[in-house]
Amino acid sequence: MTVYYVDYQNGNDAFVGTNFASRKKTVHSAATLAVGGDEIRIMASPDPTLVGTGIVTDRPGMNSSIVIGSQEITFSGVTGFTTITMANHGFSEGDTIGIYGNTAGRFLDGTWEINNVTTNKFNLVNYNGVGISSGSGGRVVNLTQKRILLDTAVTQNIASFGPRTTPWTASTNVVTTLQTSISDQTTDTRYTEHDRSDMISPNATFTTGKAAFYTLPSTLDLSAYQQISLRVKHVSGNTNTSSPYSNYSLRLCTDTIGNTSVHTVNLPARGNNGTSSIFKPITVDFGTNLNSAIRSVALYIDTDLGAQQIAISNIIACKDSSSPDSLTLTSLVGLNTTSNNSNKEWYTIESINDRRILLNLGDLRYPPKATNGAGGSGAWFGNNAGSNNIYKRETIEVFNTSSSPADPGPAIRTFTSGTFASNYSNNIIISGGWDRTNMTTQTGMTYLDSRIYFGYGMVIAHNFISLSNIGIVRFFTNLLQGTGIKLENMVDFISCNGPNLETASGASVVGCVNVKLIAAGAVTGASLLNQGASWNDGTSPCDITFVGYIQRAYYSNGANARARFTRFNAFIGGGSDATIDIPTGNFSSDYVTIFPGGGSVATGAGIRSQSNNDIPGLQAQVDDQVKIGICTMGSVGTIGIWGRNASKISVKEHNYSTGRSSFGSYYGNVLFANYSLRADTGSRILVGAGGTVNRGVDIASGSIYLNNLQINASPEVSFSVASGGNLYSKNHDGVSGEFYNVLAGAYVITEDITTRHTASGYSWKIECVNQNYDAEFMIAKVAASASTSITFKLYCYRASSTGSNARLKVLGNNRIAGITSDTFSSGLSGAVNTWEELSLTITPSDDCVAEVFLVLDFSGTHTMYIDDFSVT
Amino acid sequence: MSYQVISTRPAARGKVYYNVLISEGQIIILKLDPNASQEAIDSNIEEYLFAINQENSNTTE
Repeated sequence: MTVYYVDYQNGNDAFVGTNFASRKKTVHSAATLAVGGDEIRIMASPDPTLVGTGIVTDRPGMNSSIVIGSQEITFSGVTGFTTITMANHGFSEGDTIGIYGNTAGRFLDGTWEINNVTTNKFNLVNYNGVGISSGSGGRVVNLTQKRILLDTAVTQNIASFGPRTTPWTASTNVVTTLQTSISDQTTDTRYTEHDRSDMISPNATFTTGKAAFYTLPSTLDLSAYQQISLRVKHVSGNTNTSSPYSNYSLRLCTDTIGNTSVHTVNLPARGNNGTSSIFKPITVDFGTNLNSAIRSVALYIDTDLGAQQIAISNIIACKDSSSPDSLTLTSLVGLNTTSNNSNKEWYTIESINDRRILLNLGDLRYPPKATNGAGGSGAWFGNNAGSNNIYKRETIEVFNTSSSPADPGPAIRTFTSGTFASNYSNNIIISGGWDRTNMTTQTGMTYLDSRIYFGYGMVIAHNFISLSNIGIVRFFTNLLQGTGIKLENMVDFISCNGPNLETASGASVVGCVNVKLIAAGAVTGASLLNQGASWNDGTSPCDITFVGYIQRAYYSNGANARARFTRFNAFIGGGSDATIDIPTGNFSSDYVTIFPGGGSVATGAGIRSQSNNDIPGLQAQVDDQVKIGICTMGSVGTIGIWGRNASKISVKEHNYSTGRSSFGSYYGNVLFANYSLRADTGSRILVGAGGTVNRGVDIASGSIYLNNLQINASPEVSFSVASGGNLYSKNHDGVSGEFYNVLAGAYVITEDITTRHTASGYSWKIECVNQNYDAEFMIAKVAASASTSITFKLYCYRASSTGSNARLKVLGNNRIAGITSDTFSSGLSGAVNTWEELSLTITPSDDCVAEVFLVLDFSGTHTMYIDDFSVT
Repeated sequence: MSYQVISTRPAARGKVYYNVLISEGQIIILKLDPNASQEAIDSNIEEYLFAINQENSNTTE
């Protein structure tokens, strides 16, 4: 076995890689040499450090925006006195909100803290509405659920942050503008902090030198800081493609007009593949204390590349990189305390403004807008709301070292040109987290980061690869193509904007432990996109967790897609689709937790199975596309588990809750209609071992089988003749011995002890609750011998009216061997309120299993009892 | 509001089922306290119908 050493910061792919001193720079280089049984070690990224204490709100759902209605704004020229009056807005004192799309011309759009909160009113802290008047327009969305509010700020705001009304001062042949949201619906990324960025646009005539400057309101002493962090977006114009750096730089100056530069921040180039929609976060470490008297900032064009547009946002000073609280815009933050604690999630940062950190949880291509929950999705902190120690850790930025230096990675790449292992016992190991001294001990994690949400982070084309202690951050997507891939332990995919993880057709993942897909997957609408791969071999653990905004957590998009998880946790706010969406293929999990789930809008569902494909599953699930053990979900929009198109879903235990109060999944002020279960179009849903739900069951046009499911809801059940669905509920509503059945959307059938033919046990009460509807249901399957008569009898009791009638039927028409035609008994002809026996005798011509039905013919909402079925 | 209570029967935990025809062929089974007032039945049905209407008419924002 050979060990290859990889160091993404100080390695060199020209080296042999077989010892620490000659370590390689990329996994790709090592993977072309590795053979089965070899190990590729990656040096760890820095371990977490304590930033300080802060407040988090554990509310991972989506908070959709609320329209600001007519005259709901009362502007005030006194700072902090502008009031928004909005019935039942649901905000709390101290919340952070975003307002977008207001057109009152008073710079209301942006991020605000609120105070003086009552049920229907709140004020905007630090907002000045210029004068007294009333106003309307735009939307407001709660951002508190993606906020960490530090007790003490650890960064210093410099420029391009918070509310402001004037752009930078432009030089000749340069235009400067404040970029703001053009509507609450916009997908044009014009800002990342508050609601604006500063755009500097030198025209083709401008050559080099100071393009624009901004005079700080007061002199800043930055001597307690050593780093500068900001976001920058190359909006248009030529860009360097031969260097990671652009032709322009940000200067920190000691004069008021940007002439006396004391610190130069080289800004990144957009690159060949970079996208103009991305505000890239960057951090520059000067390694020494910054100047103590900064009075302005300026953008300089250092090399003339013609007309360009550059947008800047959120310039902050950060502490010495060796300081534990050296938080920057490129840091990951969370509650994780140790180097490789798999229990808590890490998040990328959207913005930092003094004590307030907003996390990236929305659609990362777009601004933190109001719509579709992208701006309002929340983080999951593992039920640790309130004051916590806040930690951060740094990632390693990965550049493409060859063709386009400004473009990212891939970070982890194994091409098919490498040597494959032959089986999993002879696998190639790729593991991160090896100590930064000599890589002899695996103590942490390796987080590799593109910073621009672009490119493939991980591409595994080899067979029989195991991966562990690796985090992929801010790439576009990650792709598993080989067979026998094992995500051995602690593999994170954070803020990867395509599918966080895509498994190709024919790929197989044989196990995953502590795998987290966090915040993204927006482009294709799935965080885990299964294009026809097999997940899990049926014996290995397969635990996976999803957090953040996404329309779907799991989406099978290939006919052979199949998955068998042992634990599937989704803490997400979503769009209009199901958290687990299975158009084709099989899915099973011992435990499913969805809280809340996709679909805070009308069409969403927790789990939706849409296929009647009869593909054998991994545990002989020939008849079940979806098989789940313990299912816990809530606030998923409309439907908890939704069967469609003749799909088959079995759940051992179903627990479903919904509500705005706990996890904030709601649409404006409206709590959705929710069903815990719905079976459409011939689908079948089985809940075998109970649970508790607080939404009713919609039978629709499928069949639902329940055992011991407690339904704390009214309506408890809904159905219709037109849909004709069936419900078979045993130990109904959690009561032992209770039965509750609905047949064909028309008949309610329950057990009864008040009207019995024999005074023991119970009879069945058949109640037609719809009008003039006929139906039949099977009451027995009986083995019968050839040429031997067999007689079926059943007592019936028509209550109060002869409008109900019934016959026995034995199925024939050659659908049963030995019975050539359907055979019926006579109907009832006796008086009401008396017991009358139906009798039917057949003589099959062959050995068979006779299927006996009761055919109901009710002329209205009548009731019948049946009892004492016998066979002789 | 137009609906028809077809029948009632005891439900678990001291509640009562109301089999309610809310439109042609469309049934919901309410589970309410015994002797629920007309207002309580109206309210439950109205809430359900309002929510269903939201479900049917809503789109993403």
